[in-house]
Amino acid sequence: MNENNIENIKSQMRKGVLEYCILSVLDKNDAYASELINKLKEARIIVVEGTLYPLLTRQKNQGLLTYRWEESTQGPPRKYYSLTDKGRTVLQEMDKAWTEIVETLDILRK
Amino acid sequence: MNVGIGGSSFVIEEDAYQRLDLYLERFRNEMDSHDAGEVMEDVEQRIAELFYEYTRGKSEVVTLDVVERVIRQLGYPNDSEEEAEPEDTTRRSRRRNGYSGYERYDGLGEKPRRRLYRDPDDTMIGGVCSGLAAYINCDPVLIRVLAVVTFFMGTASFWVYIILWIAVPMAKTASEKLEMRGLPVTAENLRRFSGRR
Repeated sequence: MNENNIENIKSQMRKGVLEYCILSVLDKNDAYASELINKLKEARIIVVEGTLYPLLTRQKNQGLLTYRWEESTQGPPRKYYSLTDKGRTVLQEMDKAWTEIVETLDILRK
Repeated sequence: MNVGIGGSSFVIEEDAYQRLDLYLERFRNEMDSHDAGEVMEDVEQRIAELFYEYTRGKSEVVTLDVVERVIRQLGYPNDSEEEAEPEDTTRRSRRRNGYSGYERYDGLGEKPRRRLYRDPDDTMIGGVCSGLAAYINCDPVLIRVLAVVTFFMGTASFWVYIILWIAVPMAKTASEKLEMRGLPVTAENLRRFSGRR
């Protein structure tokens, strides 16, 4: 397997988990895009922000997220994202799937 | 110049604006056209936020450095690691003659115009000779030798030099330096030139 391939798998893994991460963060608190970015950067799941915006729009179009406009102290109003009921259900399913994956690896590594 | 982005207005330097414009265009091209409009709105809003953050308390002018910093931070939608330049060698052939490594005119789109500037990076007196050399694409030393020789032949060339010195503008921004050499003002070239300063 060449290096390109490994990079590809790694980025696929990250991409899949990233959607899960967004939902997880929003499950706790509603957030501005910039807050969301800071959290995800802290957790080192994203390096550049550009990957995030298409995902947010897609998740919103799938009905997992919604946003409202909130005034900010400086500049124009910003989008404030929150999870929908559908998003919550999907998150629960993802939680289950994630636990399964982790268990599978645990078994295989023994 | 003034530019509105993400619902705010900023004062932005021209080369910075061109770099930003190219960046946004490439960002848009990497996405499905279906969501592009909406995503671009979010991106522009984020850019406005970062511009505000990075220029506050300073000159309040968006420079090329600020734009580069924002672009590094935002990256592109399909690449989570870093800004990977696409290897579209079919469209742009990178020839090495004279200014190696810079993108040459690829025969598509608007032909880059070559303009006469004085070269601030390579001056003996006023940068007129090096600017002329870039304009006609030859070695500055050749022009300088010619100039010195004609100085001895009469006062006319002396006055020509003075007039050029006054009349020809200095190539201050990265995009002007590219124009001086007849190179296309592309994102890649601007990045290289601003790195050289």
